[in-house]
Amino acid sequence: MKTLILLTTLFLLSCGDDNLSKVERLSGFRVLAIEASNSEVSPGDALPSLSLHLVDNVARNIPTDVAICLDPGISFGAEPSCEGVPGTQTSSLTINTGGFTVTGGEVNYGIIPFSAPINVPGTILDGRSLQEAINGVAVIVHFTFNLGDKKVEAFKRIVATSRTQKNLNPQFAGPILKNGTTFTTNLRKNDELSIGVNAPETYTYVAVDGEVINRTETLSLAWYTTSGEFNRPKARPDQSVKYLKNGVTGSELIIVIVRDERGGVKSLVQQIPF
Amino acid sequence: MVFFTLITLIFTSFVNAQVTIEGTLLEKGTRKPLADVSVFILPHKLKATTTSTGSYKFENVPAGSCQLIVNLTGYIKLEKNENCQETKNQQLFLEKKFYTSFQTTVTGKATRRDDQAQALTQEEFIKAPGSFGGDPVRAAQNLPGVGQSGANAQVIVQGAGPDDTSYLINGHRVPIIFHFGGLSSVIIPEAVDRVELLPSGYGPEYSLALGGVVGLTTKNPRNDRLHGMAFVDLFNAGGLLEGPIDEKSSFLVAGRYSYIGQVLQKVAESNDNLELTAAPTYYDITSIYTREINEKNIFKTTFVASRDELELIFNRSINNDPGLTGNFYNRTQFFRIIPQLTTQINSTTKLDNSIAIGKDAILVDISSRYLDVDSNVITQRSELTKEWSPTYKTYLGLDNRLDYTEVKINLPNSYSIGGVRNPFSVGEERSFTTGGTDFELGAYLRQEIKPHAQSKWTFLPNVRVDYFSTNEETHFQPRFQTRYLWDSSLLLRGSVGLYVQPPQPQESSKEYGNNKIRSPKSWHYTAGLTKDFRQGSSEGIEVTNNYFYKELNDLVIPDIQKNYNNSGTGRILGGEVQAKYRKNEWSSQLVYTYLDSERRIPGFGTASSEFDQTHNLNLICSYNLERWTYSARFRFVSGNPYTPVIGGTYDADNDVYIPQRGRIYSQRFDAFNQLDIRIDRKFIYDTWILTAYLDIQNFYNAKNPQSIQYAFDYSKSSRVRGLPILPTFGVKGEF
Repeated sequence: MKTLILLTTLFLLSCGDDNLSKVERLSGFRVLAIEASNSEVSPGDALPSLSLHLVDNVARNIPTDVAICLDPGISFGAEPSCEGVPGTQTSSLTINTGGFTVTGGEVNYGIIPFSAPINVPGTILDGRSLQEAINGVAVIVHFTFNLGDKKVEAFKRIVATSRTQKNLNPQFAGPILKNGTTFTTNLRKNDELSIGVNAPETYTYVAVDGEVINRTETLSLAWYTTSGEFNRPKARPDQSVKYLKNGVTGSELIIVIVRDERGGVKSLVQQIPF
Repeated sequence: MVFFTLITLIFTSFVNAQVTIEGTLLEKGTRKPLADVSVFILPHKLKATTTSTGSYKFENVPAGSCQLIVNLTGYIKLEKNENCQETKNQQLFLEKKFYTSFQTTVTGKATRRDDQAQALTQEEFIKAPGSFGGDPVRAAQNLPGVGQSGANAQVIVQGAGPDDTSYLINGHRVPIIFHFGGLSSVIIPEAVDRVELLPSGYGPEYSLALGGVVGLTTKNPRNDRLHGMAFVDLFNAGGLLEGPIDEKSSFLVAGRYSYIGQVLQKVAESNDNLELTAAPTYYDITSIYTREINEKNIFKTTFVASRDELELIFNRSINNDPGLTGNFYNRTQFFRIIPQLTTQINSTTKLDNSIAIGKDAILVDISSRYLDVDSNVITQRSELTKEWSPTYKTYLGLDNRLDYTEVKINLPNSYSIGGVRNPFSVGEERSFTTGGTDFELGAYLRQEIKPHAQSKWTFLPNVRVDYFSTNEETHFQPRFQTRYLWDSSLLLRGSVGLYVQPPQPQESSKEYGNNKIRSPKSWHYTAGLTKDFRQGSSEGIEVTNNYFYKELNDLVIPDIQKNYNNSGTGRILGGEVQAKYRKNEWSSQLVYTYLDSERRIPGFGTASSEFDQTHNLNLICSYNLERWTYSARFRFVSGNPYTPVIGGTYDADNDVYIPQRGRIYSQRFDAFNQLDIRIDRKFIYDTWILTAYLDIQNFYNAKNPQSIQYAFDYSKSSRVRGLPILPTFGVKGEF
């Protein structure tokens, strides 16, 4: 925490370079989300099918390595990788980004499905504490996208839990709104974007002191654009985000992704014509 | 004829009239009485000597024109033409040639018990360039072995981390020594008598710090008359009042309030990334009361309170971590009441007792994540000093602490290695409330032994025992020091000793850390000398040269399975030289430290430590010209090592990239260099002094990298620079 306070002080008092690429700006290959049909499963269940939400600025084939393993302890600092993890299973696929048909700016957006005939181990929760059994133990699905000159890595957790009510993906309640209304025209500086989402779920959770409590999900939105930038690229559903650029020409993509902090994810794409 | 005779008589009586002149001789500006000074009246060749209150009296002075003359070394000669007549309340003000000057001489020597200690007195740190208006702890960064810490101004002692340094006020530990991580220390400089640094090989009086100890000692309020001071500069304003209550008691009250928030708000207005919802502020209050109860007992109570508050909204997350966005609120406050009783039992025995009662409170709230710590603290120190004979002296002491702490926390654990922290969003959430009592018990024996009264050797076989309830450990720490006084100008010294500090609260927490964690330990070995070439003069060169080696064991490092373990080790070796030169109006010093500090972390190999600054050079000089003082400090410091981040892995559930670390601390920032200058101008009035100063930090606007800022996916990076040129203008009035 002391580090955080010092970071904040340094942030306020020092001078940095603000020319680094913005998180919301889409310009090349990028994984935006990995959506699972079910982000939570019971021990022994089949691995859910996944949808990779990707963008790329060129049409190409991307050889992709997939490794599936027990979570090595990423939240405690382990490398987010299956390397050296016993019981790791591997797979592969080739992604053709030329098939991405949703275009905006220089970027194409597409969804690639992935599934593997693998079951989550039936003994994954055996001998675990109540906290681990209810909060869950994760299997990770790790992707390595081989782009030639570089590799891009991403992973998704599938959580095995003893909860009877498994997590459902969050849902949007309507389209993206510009200044409170639907839109099809380009954005202008200071336009405010917003979107409604359905109510978050309530779930059982075991705190670190062993107390079993009911919690409500905290939903978060990630906003992306193929041109310009937002003042608040990560926002709560009740927050609008302000567009900070003027005079966009050509087509443009606005993508918003909602997450529920439990692995549930949903995306929505708005293609804006000139 | 009668008329003529009358006129003659009147004229004669007028010419021969004799008067009495009584007055007081005071120092101009400070109104300090000047005692034992000769005051002359010419042309009558009369002389009077001032008493202890500065008063003088001339009798039978022929009335009429005369000249008062006072000529005192260190003062401007006073020649005042007067019409001598009966006077009872004459006041003469004698102006000093130099009121205060930035001196490189460490004048803490007289009260310094430990040869390893270095001290700066108020006169020294008040005038130090680059010290944000005379801040004592920032000025202490000029001392040998103190590293450069950038804008945060943490105290980095001989390559150890900031958490390895203990901060004391009047010997009692306090949670912070700086406001807002380094802007200024928590006591107004004018209420501090001296700042002391114990870097390594220090005696048994202090412990719980592998790196070093930084101690502030509050001053004893003056009791001659009422004194006051008020100042205002770009960042803060404050004042001080001190004086006698009665013949045996005196008081001091001081306070400071910072309006730096208004400055930062201006910065924030032009920044879309954050909104300051409440201007950050800090203030501190100090009050001191002393009373000479009787010839044997002196009582002193110090009250210190400090509060920092900051609230803002981050529209963009810090370090691209969605977990660090939105509302940010921080409040850090503490207070201590420190009563001290010094009893001179007899000519050879003295007993010091003190206790500090206080409260520490830290609240950090980031959206719905928070850390709320409330701690009630009592610390106690006692020391019995006994001079058994001219060759044997002992100091038997206790150093205890008891605290009751309540912690409310809702934060994820956050793994960090090599100075690169995983995003908060990735960590496992920990939400709990806990509390309890912890105590630390310490006892020590310091012995000073001379083989015989004329011996040049002094041996100090010391020992300290500490018990920590946190991990239920008892530590026996032998510490041995020796000194050899070659001659009156050359002192040789050496030491070896064991130092232990308890683990940090988060490291030993059963919820966050590992309640089986042990205390880190360090063996210190030092050798050094001080050579004074001044041969009794106040001008010339004095050189101090020290070498140190520290072997670090049981260091706490992150552990994926247990949160933390004790498998870290390390070593620190280095040497430092301080050369001080003073002549006439010039004073200067050169301070150079060579350092090699490394850590061994299983699984990550051996690497330089985060604060390994190979070369650290400080050049300081000062020139006094009448009422002007010009001073400058130049620093050149090797860049800190850092761990390169070679990429990131996308965590699709938390929408954040986890950094992929290269070899830890395998790269270094460019060297740090900075010139700070300061100009003081004093205006001396009869009864008060006005000082105006201009302090310019980073005079030539060097772009010193302090940290690295990464793109959201770690594909690109840029250096974050430290403070740009930062001028501070202030005025201070005192009487």
